[in-house]
Amino acid sequence: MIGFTTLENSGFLFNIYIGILLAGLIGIFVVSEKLKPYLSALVVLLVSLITSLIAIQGINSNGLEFLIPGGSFIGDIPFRIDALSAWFMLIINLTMITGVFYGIGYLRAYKPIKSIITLHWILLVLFQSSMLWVCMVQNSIAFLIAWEIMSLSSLFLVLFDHADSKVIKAGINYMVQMHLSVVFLTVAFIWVYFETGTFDFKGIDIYFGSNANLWLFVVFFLGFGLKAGFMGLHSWLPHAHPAAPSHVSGIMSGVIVKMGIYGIFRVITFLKADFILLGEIVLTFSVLTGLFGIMNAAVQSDFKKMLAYCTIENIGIIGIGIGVGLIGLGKDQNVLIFLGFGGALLHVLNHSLFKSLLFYSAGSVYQQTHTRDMNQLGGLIKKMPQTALLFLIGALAIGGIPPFNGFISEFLIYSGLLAGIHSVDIAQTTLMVVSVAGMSIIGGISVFAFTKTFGTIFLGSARTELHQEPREVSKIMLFPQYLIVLVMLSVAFFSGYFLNVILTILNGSFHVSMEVGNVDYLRYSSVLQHISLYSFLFLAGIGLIYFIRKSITKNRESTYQSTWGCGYVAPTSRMQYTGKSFTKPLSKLFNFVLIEKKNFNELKSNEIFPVSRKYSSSYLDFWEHWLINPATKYLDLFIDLFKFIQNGRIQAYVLYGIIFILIVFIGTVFHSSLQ
Amino acid sequence: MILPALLLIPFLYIILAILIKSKKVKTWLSFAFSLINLGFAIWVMAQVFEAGMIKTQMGSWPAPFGITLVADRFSAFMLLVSALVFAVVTLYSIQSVDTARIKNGYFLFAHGILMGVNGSFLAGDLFNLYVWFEVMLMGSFILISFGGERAQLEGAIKYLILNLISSFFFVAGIGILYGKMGTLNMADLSQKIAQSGDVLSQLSPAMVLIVVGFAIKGALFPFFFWLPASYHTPPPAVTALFAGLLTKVGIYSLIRIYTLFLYHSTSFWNPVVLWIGILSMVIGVFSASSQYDFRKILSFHIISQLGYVVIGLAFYTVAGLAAAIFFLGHNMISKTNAFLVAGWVHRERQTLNLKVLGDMFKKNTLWGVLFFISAFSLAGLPPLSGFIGKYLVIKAGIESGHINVALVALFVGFFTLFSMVKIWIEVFWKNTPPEVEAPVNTKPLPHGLMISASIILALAIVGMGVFAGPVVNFCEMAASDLLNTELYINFVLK
Amino acid sequence: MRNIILEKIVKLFLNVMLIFSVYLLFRGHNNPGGGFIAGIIAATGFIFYAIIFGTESVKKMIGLSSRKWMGLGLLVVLITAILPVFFSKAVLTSLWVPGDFPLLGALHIGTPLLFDSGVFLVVSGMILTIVISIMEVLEWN
Repeated sequence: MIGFTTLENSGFLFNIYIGILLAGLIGIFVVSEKLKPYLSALVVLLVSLITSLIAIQGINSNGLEFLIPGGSFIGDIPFRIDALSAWFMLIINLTMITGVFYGIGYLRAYKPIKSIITLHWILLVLFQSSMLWVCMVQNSIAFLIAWEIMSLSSLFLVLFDHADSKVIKAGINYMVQMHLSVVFLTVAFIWVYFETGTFDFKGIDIYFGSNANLWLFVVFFLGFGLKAGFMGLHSWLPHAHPAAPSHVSGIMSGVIVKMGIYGIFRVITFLKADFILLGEIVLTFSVLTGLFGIMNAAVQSDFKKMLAYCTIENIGIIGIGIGVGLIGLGKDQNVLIFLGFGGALLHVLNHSLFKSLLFYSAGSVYQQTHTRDMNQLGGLIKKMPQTALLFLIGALAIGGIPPFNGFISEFLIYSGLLAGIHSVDIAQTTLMVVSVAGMSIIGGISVFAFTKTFGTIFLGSARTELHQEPREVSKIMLFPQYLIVLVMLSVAFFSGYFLNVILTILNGSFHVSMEVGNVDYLRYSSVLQHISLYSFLFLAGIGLIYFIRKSITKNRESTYQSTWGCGYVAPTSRMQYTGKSFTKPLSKLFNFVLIEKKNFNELKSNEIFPVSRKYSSSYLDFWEHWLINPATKYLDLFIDLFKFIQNGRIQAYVLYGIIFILIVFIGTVFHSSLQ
Repeated sequence: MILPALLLIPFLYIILAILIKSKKVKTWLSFAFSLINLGFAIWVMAQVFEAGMIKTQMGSWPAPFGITLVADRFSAFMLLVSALVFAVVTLYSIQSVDTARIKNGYFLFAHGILMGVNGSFLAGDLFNLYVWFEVMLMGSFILISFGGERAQLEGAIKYLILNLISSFFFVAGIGILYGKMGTLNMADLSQKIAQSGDVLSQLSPAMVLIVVGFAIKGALFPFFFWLPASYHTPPPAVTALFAGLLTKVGIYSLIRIYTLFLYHSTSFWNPVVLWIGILSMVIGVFSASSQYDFRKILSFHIISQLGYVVIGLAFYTVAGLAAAIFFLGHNMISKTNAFLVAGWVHRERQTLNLKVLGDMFKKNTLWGVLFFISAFSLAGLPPLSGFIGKYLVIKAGIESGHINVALVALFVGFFTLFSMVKIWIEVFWKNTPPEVEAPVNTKPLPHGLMISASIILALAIVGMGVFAGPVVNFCEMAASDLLNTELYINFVLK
Repeated sequence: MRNIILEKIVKLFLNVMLIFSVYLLFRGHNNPGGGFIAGIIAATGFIFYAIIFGTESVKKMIGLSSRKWMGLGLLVVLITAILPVFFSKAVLTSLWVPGDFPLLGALHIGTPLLFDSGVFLVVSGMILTIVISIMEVLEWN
């Protein structure tokens, strides 16, 4: 293990943190309805501040450790904050701060019951703390408790919109899958306990030191992967994210999914062997996850669902980084470790930034239009220019386009793959080549998908009449988004600083020693900085030209014409290219994964005057359709068997009893004759 | 001297209830007597805490011949928890049970049940145990059949028949036992069996009958069918009382005879009890997930939760038994409280069908929180008592090498959580389905006493979770007393 | 239609049954008999009476309602149970009146008799309650 230092000071900070948390929870419960949101924001802010201080100490001091008494059962709960935990804690805090402020504005549109609002804010505060605990504790029981609190509090946050039965259904789906994850994790932890006799995470270290690494890691990976949303384990995401209120989906997609990634990283820090095999597995799985996620994202017409699938894609990218890093660990090549793990860690930060930005701006659209179907929207750039700009920035960042931050981490991972191609064996080389291809396809479709989404929602003209005229959202909702943009740009322009932090993390947590400031690593950051700079200059140039043009044309008269319709004189909004038609070729191409479901009545030939008809189509999730739905169906049938046993006939019950007694009697006879 | 008091107090109330006419006096006297009973239970607890065990020989006849009342730590714990549950349910009933039932002696028969329960926990010989079972059955049958709607009578008949069968098995077993051994005092029997090595194999028919009798009482697999068939029919307060007390007596007796007699042939009984426990857990929880009635779901969960207790017994270690005892206490409190909340919902909406309920959280937040506490305690979430219980059972399982059983227990826990969240969402969170007509009375009915009853139990749940240390220590002491059979024998026969 | 012979016989029968039941009650501690059987026999007498004269007359004759009678019996039982406690003995321990009486000599009087009397009241009260309510429901009179 890494040498942890115990600091008096951090224990003190921790006590303050607990004090603020408790006071805050009680305070939110007590104060008037109007103050609740602001108080919650204050509590989140303070908690973030203090835990960030702890986290920064953790990074600087190569790991903190302090014990919190946990009663006679768990014993002292070890809180260990190494650089890895600290990194995730900072990400959580940042996302929570933006989320809570955005949430204040977002919830203003709702007028629900007081008790529900109270519950919502209390859970939000609790949710933050539970995620922080997940990062801090290193005792499996305490970890599972924190994990469970995190799942449940987020479940009730998802269930905010209680009037909608779809939301309820999504919530139940979410809960069941989260518990599947807990089952895997518990099995893994019990396994460790059974072999080593300790609930401390050091037990995992001991286990990996003396046993085969593969299977335990796989169980952990399944447990954490369910949270992270790897392909096949992802099916809660596309349901829960659209169902939740937007600030919650932003936080969920931004950080709760990353807790799964945190878990995987945490287990990797204990790994002792089988690196290459595991790396290959993770890499393959992740490439498929990315492809699957982005293909589905491209064809969705519900824009929040689209963002949810896009999260799956990004988890795939992070997973590719992890896979590369694992192979690097196996081959003992520091460059691969740096590029793989470093890229993955940085992408965790980046994704949390731009995905929350996208969810927030999408939430603004939803708040103003009350629909999530992009094919009903259009031309919103004129009504909501700032939101449109923010969404565009998010979309560019997620597509990995410089000068935004998504580019940096994806570049690192690409470099990792490329560096891997000429530095490992033929088997991995093949895998790397395929992965590079896969990742470029992912990137391409990603740009494609966001072009479609942005174009359909913000460009063109409105496709349907909305109930109310959409307006730009309030400042309190815009402010957090600008904050995110600021952080995103800082990541892009000061990537050298961030890479140094990541080197610290890798040194602190992954049994490697990489000199901070080594040219090998800084090479990448200077390249990145240059690219960022030039692309920013390019953008600035565009902006400059725009302003010059505007100032020139300011005093001139200009006329606006409607869009040229190829000579057609009365173009309507329905003649626009829809999102669906945009992606039709893609869905045709990949129709073995993208299952289209069409709802319409066939036109029968003998109908003389056909009545008006409806046509709609949607895309089914491949895994849900072929794996999860059949599985639940059989589970239902299985559970119905028990209904048959409990059939209400008293004779039958007596009969069961008599059969049992007979069996036991016969058992006693055999038993005594055996003796 | 104080042990008979626990029997005489309910008895005195029964007399007074017969002699006094005024409904109001009867009602409040009932609450007062339940409090006195609680006081005595605490007193017994205090004494047992000091001395380890106390006993009274009724009528001054010495032990193997007379009637012995014994309270060891396990009994004292059960007495205390059941007294608490009873007092709370009585308080709750004052407001929740309708006037007609109170007039017809609701409290009288409730005290009859209390007398039977107390008697069973104190009984030192098998025949007395049987008698107290019968007392309990009589009181409970009348309570369950009061009112006489069709569904209720159907449930009552099932309840009666299966419980009579249980009594029949039990008394038949007692008969065989008496014929072979010539004594029914449990300590004496245990000693005689221990002394005469191979006699237990001849007694297995009797033991099988007795175990089956207890298993029916305790609603264990495969004898649990009477419970879900009948528990959802009577008024909620009655169900709460039954859920808190009745099945637990069966389990108590099972633990008692296991630690006194059956442990001599563990190689046979251990797997039997273990499988009963596992199947109860699994089948109970699976059956619950296909149900759509508030109380039916809770009823099935009684079965699955008793399974936890039984596997704790089957581990047969100090940790396992301590876990079983703790879990039993926790389950009495949490389950009763869940039924109390169901009672409030029923009072407000006259139905407990999940499909037509909704909006209850908006109606009263506090009740929602109370349900939350009890349901999530049942599901085993920290920092509530259920978490400690489940944790102890699973840990005991791992430590005694039953890792598969521990995993099954965990798995069942997740299904429990699923059911509880289902109830929470369906009853408290979602909107009432639009096709259901909104309930007419928008003004909430008075529920001050009901809610204070529920709050007391909720506090007990939280307290048992947060301050679990002393309780678990006590349970461990009780468990090691139970495992040390000699101690019990010597104390009773001294 | 009144049947005088039957009425007379039943009145006589009731008296005989009552006396016999008291006899059984008293011999009960050492010989076959006791509170339970005595109670049943006494109740039988009343039931016959009720069949002939109707339930109302039995109620009038008993004075108290049979429910109260039951309660009273239970109370007596309870008192006998607790009485030894005041002499610092275990619950339900038998207490005996010590010494000889003038004229009557040595008598064997103690709490068991009281207990039996309690049981007598309970049993007869219970049977009467059940039978009378059945008769009333069936409109036997």
